[in-house]
Amino acid sequence: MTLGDRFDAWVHSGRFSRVDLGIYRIIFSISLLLTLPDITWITSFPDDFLRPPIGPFQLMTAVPPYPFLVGLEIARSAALVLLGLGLYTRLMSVLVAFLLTTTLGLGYVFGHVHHTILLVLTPLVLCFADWGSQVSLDSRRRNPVPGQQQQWPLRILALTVGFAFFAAALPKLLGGWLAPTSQATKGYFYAYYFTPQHPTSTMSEPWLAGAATHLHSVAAWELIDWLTVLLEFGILLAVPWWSAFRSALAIATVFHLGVFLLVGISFTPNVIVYGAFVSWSRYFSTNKQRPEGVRGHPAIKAGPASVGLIGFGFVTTWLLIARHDPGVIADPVIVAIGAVIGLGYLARSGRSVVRRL
Amino acid sequence: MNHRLLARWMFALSCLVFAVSVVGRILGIDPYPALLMPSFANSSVLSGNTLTMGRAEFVAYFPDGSSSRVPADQIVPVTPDIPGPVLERALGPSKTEDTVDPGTKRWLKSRLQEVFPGQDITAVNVVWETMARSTVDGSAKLIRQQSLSIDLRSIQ
Repeated sequence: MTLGDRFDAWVHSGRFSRVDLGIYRIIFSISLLLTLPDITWITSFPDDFLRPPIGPFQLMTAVPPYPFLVGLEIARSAALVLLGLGLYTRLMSVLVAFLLTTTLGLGYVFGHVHHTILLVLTPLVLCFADWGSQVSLDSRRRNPVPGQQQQWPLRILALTVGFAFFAAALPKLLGGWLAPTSQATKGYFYAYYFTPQHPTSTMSEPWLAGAATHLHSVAAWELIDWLTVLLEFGILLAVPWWSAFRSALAIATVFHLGVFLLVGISFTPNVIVYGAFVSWSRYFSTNKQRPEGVRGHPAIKAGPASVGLIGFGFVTTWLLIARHDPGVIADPVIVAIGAVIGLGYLARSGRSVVRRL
Repeated sequence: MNHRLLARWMFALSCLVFAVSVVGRILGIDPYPALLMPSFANSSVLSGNTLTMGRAEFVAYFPDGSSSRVPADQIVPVTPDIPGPVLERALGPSKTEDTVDPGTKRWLKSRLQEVFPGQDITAVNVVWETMARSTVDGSAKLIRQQSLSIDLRSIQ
């Protein structure tokens, strides 16, 4: 077996089904409609504040006008609704990726980049997985796609998640996070704690913040630094094995909940992306014997679901434009749901390991 | 193109994008779009049990000579993407009245007029304070204060 053959065998292995991806596509769409930020706030600042990061946004010389930004937000919501419905899914996946790159990028033109690129890459990669072939309007207007679900796009997505974490871990390692005297986590915690309504914090008083001020053990804070760096490197190391990768993501969901409760930063985009690796049919399927390639999904009625999703798109977009950000509530809820699913996965994996022993 | 070839090309492309992104980050460039996540790389936020932090405050002056202090978050809308450094670049202590962009002066005057509706603002002081906060008892000590004065009388 050549190296190429081994690579092919690895990259095409996996047990994700078309229904898993179809359900995830809807979850992805709804989660983004709920949590994507308003971008019209950038019109509140003068052009002199512009410091676009290296890349295409450097072409910007002035803050775009308000109606243009509202138009972009409406287009983004419409594309997300169509993606959720699974109508022209491939086209919508590419369009959503483009609109996400643009709208998120416009939020970074003053020089502070949040790096939510995984949200952009997800539809771009999963359109190769034909994630509109089930639980979609596309599945009603065309013949079922023959053959098994392609696994390689999920493997590529897993790799990009691993790479992104590695890119976060490496600067920490080079920046001295593992030095015994650093307690970097403690530093960031207090930087947020002493700054009421920190710009990147979604909570004025995170629930665990008060308790954490009583933690004076240098070893405990240093241990958190080490665990953070190990987890971030570990995700890339786990990519070759599906069970290890999913376990690493499950631990990451608990880590994100901890960060949220400690400093109020919600890594919602990450949690949404991890959803691509959940076997959703396990939670939603009403008939587990259902074969691949069958159109639709028994738990979802196309008509009411479509009307519901379109209405949902209208309401969330209106709330966003009216500056009543639905993400204030949705962000913590999604992070919490992610941690519950992650803990459930870890418990099931633990039980199965114990049984095998 | 069949899926076997496509998978190989996508794998190679992912590796290439990752390599370029990481090199950019190591060189201190934060490109966008790039295959990166926030790094929180600075490990020296604390010095022992002391956190050094800066804050800005605005002092508005009125035609009768009176003045009023305004916290920065009333002037700069609280958004996730305008942290202190962005404000510091435009109105920081290293700036002088002549080097502040005229557009920024107009913006600052209009923001102050929203805070003090119907009142004329003649000048503003942007006061930058550097504080040392203790993580043990939360006490704060002022260690540096710098300010930037801007005459707003000729700004329309």
